[in-house]
Amino acid sequence: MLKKTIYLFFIVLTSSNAFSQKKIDPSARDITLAKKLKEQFPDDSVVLEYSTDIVSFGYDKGDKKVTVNHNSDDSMLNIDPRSDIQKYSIYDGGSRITDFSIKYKNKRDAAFYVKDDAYTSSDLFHNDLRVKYVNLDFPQMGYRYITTINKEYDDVKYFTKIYFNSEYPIIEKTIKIEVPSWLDVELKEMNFEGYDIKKNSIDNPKAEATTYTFKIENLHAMYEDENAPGPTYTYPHILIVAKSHTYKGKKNNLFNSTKDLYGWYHSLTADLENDNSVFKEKVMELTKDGKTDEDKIKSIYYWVQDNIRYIAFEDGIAGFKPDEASNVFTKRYGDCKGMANLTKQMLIEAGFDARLTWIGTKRIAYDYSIPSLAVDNHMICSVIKDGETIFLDGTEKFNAFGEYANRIQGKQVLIEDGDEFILKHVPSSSPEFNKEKISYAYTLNGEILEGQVKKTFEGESRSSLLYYFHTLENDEKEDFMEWYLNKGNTNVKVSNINTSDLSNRDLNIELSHDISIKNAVSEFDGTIYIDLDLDKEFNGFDFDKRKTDYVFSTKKDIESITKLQIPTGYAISSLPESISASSENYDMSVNFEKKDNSIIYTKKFIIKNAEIKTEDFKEWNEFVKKLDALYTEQITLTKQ
Amino acid sequence: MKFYKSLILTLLFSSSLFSQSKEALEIKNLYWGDNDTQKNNVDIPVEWENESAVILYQEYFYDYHKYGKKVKYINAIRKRVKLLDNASIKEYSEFSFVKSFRVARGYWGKKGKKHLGIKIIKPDGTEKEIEIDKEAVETDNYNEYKIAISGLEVGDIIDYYSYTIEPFKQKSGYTFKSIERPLIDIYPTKEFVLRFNTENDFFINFNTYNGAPKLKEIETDKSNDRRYVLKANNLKKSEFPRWSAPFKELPFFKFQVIFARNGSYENSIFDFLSDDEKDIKKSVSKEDVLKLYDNHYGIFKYYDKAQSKYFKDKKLSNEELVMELYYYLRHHHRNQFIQPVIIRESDIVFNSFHHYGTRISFIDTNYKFIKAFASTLIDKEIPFDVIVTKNRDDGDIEDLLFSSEMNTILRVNLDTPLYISIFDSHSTLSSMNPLIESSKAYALSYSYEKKRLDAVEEITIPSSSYVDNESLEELNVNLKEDFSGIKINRMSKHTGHNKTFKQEDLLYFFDFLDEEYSKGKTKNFFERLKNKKNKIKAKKEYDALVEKLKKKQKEHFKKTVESEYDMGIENHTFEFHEMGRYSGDSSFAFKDEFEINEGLIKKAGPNYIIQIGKLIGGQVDITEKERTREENIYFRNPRSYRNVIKLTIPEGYKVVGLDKLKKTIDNPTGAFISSAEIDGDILTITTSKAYKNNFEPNANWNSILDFLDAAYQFTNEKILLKKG
Repeated sequence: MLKKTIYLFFIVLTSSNAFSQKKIDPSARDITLAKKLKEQFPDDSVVLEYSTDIVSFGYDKGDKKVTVNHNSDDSMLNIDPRSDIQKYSIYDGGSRITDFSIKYKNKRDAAFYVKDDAYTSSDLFHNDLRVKYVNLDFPQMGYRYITTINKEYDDVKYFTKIYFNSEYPIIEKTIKIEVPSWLDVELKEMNFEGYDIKKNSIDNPKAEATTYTFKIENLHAMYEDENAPGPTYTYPHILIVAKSHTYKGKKNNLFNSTKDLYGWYHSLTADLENDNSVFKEKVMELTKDGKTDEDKIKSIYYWVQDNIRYIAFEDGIAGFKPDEASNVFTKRYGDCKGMANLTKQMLIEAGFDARLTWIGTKRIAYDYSIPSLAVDNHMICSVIKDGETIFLDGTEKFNAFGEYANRIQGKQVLIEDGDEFILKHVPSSSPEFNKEKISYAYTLNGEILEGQVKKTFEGESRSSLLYYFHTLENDEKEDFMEWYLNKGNTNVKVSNINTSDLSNRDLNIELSHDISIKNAVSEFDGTIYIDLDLDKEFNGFDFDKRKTDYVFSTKKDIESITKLQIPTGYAISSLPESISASSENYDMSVNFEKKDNSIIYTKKFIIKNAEIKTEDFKEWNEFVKKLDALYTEQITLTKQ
Repeated sequence: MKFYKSLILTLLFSSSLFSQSKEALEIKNLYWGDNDTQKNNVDIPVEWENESAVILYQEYFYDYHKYGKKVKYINAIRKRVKLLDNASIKEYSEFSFVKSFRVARGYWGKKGKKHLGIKIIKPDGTEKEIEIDKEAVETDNYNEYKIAISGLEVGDIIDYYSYTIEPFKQKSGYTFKSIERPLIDIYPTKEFVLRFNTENDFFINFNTYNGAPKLKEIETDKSNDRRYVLKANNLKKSEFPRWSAPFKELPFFKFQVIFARNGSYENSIFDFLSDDEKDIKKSVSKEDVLKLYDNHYGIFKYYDKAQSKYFKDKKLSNEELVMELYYYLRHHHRNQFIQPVIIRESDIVFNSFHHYGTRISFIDTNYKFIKAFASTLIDKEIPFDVIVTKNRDDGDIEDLLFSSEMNTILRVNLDTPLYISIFDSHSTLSSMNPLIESSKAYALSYSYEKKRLDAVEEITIPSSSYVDNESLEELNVNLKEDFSGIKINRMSKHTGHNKTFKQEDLLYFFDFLDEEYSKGKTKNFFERLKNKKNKIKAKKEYDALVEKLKKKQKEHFKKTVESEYDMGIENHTFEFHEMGRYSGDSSFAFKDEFEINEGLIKKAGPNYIIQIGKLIGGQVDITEKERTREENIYFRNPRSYRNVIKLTIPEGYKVVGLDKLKKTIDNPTGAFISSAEIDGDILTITTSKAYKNNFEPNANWNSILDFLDAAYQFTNEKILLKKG
């Protein structure tokens, strides 16, 4: 009897399996759709047929905070033969994920185990970010999962924006934001131009709320381009600026204006004890020999750069509130806020007017006209002296006093001023400021190119080289210089290396050395063929497949002049043609000429704004193709 | 190489978490108390002033004691390092550690205690102890913490210890994991000390090698208390150049401790014990090895009904039988299970192994393989030896000290003795582990008369030659009409060890499983499924997986070719011609086609320069620094590479510059020989490069450089296609 029962049970189980499998397996229509979508999105493996975000707000009477509920429903369709992906959501101490569920297409629960791990990042030593995720396998083309993630925020100020794009293409994207009448929230539409986003709003008097709905169809996935501008420049999104709320008839400001944003920042920094006794002596030591104020400020600024290691703890409020200057001094490490605060307090100790300064680096598209935590991501220190403001960024190692890294140039800053604040901009510098000048003077010795090389580096080209050099182990520094100068190419021998003082960040770097190059010259039938270019800057640097602007880490101004003495008895039989290209963002030129008994090969590459815009790509690519061709051309000298 | 240094020092020790407990204070006092001999050790020798850091002192401490049924194991390290630049500051700026843990030893592991102390000594002599409990933060891993070391500056000394106490219960005995450690470190070391304490019932195998000082016993008052120490001074930092074998050249020590409370445990363990626990065992003789295997002959006892039945009535010569036995085991006990494993891992069918019966015998260890193989040899009375050796780069067989170092293989004594040392997806009967070739070994012969291993002799395992391990590439090269690039179709054939490497890199399961099932005459996974619907569904999902992986294989293959030539390729297609999986003589052969559109052709007025030398693929490029070398040279195995490049000369052009393509360097260490000739409109270039041996003494380094340089220079050579 028992045997029979088991048998029956087995039959039931397998048949129900077969039944449910049929319901979750892709139908012929699903497969056709998947194939069609694959044609539309050949680089993607999964498409969201629909993706719906619903945002609503609440009020926590206990904490007196406006809370946010963010629900996302996605229908994920596999358009590859098989896909294995991760569906994830990140949260922190101020938010939690209350629902993370995966269903088959027949709406039955798919029993995936939701993992919950700390989110680790090489930039942050410690943080409170966590990630919930599942590993989803789509075993066939046309397979579907429906996912729901519900996330709650304790405080609306941390819910700053919502994007339309995701890492997968979306057929129909909907964002619904239900704004209750007691909340004044501005929904700022960012980067909507060029996207067909349909909006409407419906008042619901019963619920005393208005629902704003945004819809867009056939949206591409976020691009995976490297060196791309921050997403706030590229993708359409809605900035959520919660200005005020009314509770029991009383209006309470949230971030109604920049003043409120500053007010909150200031409330955090006002808590600092600023007991500077531990570094009093150090400040004295650093400033005692300074003849001018500038000497003294420099001395403190460079000390912070050199002695405070960048180690970041972003745990709750520590993500916004600087560590005490005395702690940073004692520990000899800190994040940008800690370094800014230590710089400030040391300068105050030395008698200067120094202020904490909030800033969004170039990665962020906004300025302080928007009162939101999304505006900034960095902190520096400002010194106000004789009516002038000088910015000091302790995280920029080997940055000279009065020079600013490209990543903050031109950006608006929020400077503390008691209960008030000051808005200013970090000055921008020209590409010439970062000038790299290279000169080669060659003669031919048989099939060997011999000569002397001189290089100078200014501005950021200088500080980045100095920084790298000083991270090396002492016993590797000499080998590094040789490797740096011959680019790891054993055909190139460098000798008699002379360098300027590499410990002084105020001086431009000057390098000179002798050089001898094998295998760059070939002689066939009395004709000499020469590949004169060791550096070949921007070789293959085209943007054929790129979708977003290309962002360089710094503005560039490279000038390279190579002079080759033509050996006696030889004449030039062919020189590559000169080329050039210009736009608002770059000036590029390569020029060959014969002067006296020499060939002068000059390259000038200026990247004016540290970026190449997508609208430049066509011309830029044409130039780079010509440049690539030029780099493969040989200079030919024929025996007379 | 220094570049492999981890940024976070992971120390499996502790913090004085249980805040300054008595024990913690005692340990702290042990290292940093009044009797600290290192207190004034702050100076570094002048010759090391330009180093990144100098280890002033490092001490390893191991302690093994028993208390009734309990065993207490302590291991500790103390290091005192002078930091001389930012790179070393970064190296020591973060520590991660666990605070407490469950001891995974014996039959009942208790709670382990760990103590970590870190202090910084400033150049003016002031000392600052890091408050670990206060400054450490917990990570996501249970009980794991990390700490950013505060106050660290160039010129400081960081002095830290970690002290781990692991108590556990064990009635009879316990074998501790062996420890093998070079005396040198990534920074130069002023003083190195190893301390070692034991007592009765602990057997120690210990020795030092390559000039490391010997372990000295320290006299104690108690008869059962044994203390040892090893000291070394002024050790240079480690540098491992290309093709080196640290354990063959650098001073190091190794040891293993076995706790054996009684004679029965002593007899039961598969390892080498000294005759008297009071004596340290310093070496293992061939007789020791024979005795060990003979006593544990049972490890070769094996019976598999199906295997026995399969071979029972086979009328085959010994050679044929051995061959069939090898491929029988490879398929029935290994490769036929690849498919169900993949199906399970991909979540296609959760219980994929249910379709393989209840008794699944999967051979996944060397010993299982030897047992299974030897059982049929014994059934058929085929003479064989058990061969015990060590991996060549880990030292000689004379330096054998414990069983975990042994590499055990079989030698079947056919007319030509056959060494059987590898058993994996693609290995063939004659596949040889390259790491034991030409190593000395002990051959333990099996006597059919006595039914035991009864004699031992020292032998040398033969080595393959560079001719056996060959890669041949035949390229047909055509220039595109507009000279914008070249098209290559290529046939590649790999044999010997070169074959193994390529098979592992390029073959996916779907490339060879059909042949496996057909030759092995077993059913594949889908043929085992009875339910038709399930079968269709599983097959559909499996096919989808294969399609996905084929795309991955295609991308990987392309990348492999790109890294071979160190250039981008386009329009790559390939097909496998010969798998080479059923015979040692057969090659792994494939044909592929691709284009190289950048980096090979240079325009020179109306003519073109072709960097033809690059078509032999990237060659070893020796830097100036590598040219001076003190170490001997250790290659994995002898090997050779041949290229035949046929370039179709475009109409209207002639080739100039063949002279530089003709090179001959041939010496006892290796060779690079090339030729170039034109026949009609075809330029044929042949090259052959050989690494003739698996070892060369340092004196031969310049001979090696000769052929390496010739090969590298060849990659720089060009021809001119001259118009008219």
